[in-house]
Amino acid sequence: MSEEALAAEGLRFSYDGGAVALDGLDLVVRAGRRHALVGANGAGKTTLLLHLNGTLRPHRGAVRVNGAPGQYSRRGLTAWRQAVGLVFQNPEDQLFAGTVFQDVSFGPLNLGLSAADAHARVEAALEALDIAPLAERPTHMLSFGQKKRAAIAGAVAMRPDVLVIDEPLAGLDPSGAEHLLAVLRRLHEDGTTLVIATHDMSLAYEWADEVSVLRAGRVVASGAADDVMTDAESLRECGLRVPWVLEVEVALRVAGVFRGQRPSLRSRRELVAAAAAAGVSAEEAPTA
Amino acid sequence: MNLIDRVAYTNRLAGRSAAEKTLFALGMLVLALVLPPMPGDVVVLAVMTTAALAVARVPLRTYAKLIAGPLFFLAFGVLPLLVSVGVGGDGLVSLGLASGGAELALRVTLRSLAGVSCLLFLSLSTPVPQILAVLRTVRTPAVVTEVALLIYRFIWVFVDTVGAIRTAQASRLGYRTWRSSYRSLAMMSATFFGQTLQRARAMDHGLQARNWQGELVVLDHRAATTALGLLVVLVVQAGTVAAVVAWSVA
Repeated sequence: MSEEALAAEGLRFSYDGGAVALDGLDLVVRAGRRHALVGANGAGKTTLLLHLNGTLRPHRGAVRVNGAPGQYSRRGLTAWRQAVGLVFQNPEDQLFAGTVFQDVSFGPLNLGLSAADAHARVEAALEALDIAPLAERPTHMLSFGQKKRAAIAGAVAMRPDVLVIDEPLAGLDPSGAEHLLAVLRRLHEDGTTLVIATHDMSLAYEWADEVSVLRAGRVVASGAADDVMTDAESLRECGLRVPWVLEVEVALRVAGVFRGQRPSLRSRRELVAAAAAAGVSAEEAPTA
Repeated sequence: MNLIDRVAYTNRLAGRSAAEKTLFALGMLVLALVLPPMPGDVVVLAVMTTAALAVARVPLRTYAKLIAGPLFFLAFGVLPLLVSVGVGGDGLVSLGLASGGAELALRVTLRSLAGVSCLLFLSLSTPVPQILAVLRTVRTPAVVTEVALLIYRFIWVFVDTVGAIRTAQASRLGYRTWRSSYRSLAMMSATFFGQTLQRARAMDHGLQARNWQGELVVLDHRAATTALGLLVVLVVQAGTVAAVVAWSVA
């Protein structure tokens, strides 16, 4: 079992005078994993993310970063935010500077790096996100997908151990989504622990090693993606659905097209390939 | 605003050092204020419009559109200088051309236009972030440059927000009549205020996530100021003075 990178224990939080947003939430994210937090709208995903980098302070409970309790002092928060990068759903909330290059340089400079070091970090981050040619582009002249990548570059440039992204693919077109997934794959291969919050079940199923299901401010199920995502009944109770790839795979197994015990296909591509291998062609594909 | 911004990023001088362009524009502005309007401001005006239209290649239409605004105000401002209204001893109001009014009006017009041409050159040739970078180098207080930066950034966010709300309202016929237009506008203002606060909070979280220490420090990845560039600026400015002197003597 690998080390814990990020953990929450009994988090309780409610917004001023509002309803309880987190209600005794427990979570463990292990180092080097791809972890998806899934939950319906209002389940507390975004509130949780704001706790994971110390922006919000729980009323009860604690957050641990790399095994040590998160410190809310100025110095503690600096170290915390270097360790945990956070990217919001709306890139507009993160981009403040005139140009992409300037914006991405903000984090590295805040870490106290020299101009030369910060410069190198920015270039590496722009490279990693495939937006080097946009460096001098004003932030308001970018497409949504480009803004999203610029916002992620701003976090990546700080070289966090854990990168937390809220709804990474929301609002992206299919090729933009594929592109971003490739970027995430590279970051993961370089050793970054990745956490995403999403209600896109197909994405979570295809992408994640581990999944935690949120409901009403709590993690109600957590574990390997294969175990959590196949529990149709609990997912339904949380306002979520089983990923369609899984549904189709199960249907094809029931129909006798696929053999074997456990579901193993995670993505559309794998499903299509397996179906073709089993002799299903587009014309004779079973219809519901 | 949109127009200025686009040109500032795409004009032929966009890649040149912002310090050179700022020095040029401000130097010429000082000349416009110091030299006698006739012929000083005529020369400055000629140099600056040439610099904007021929060197930076700002489209003529854009330039005309942008200078039309100041011209309009100027026309109204100059009018009282031309005309004198007096009340005679007999209690009658008399209206006439002010003595020396024409000359004064001409001087005011020339000086204003020369000044406007300097600022137009700067704003059309140099993107705002670059101007701010120059201001930082000359040690303008961070508060000033940061507020300016955030205003600049948020203008675009707000333009989008207002556009989206307006479209949403219009597609539900919110602007069909005068009455509904007023109502829609009032609702938009209220919504906009709420959204602005929310945006500010989100931005605050965003900055904190990147370890904001109370100052918006960024790396300026900008064109270097070259000796040659500075020389060109100085030569043009000296040439302007020389031309004015020569004209005055002649």
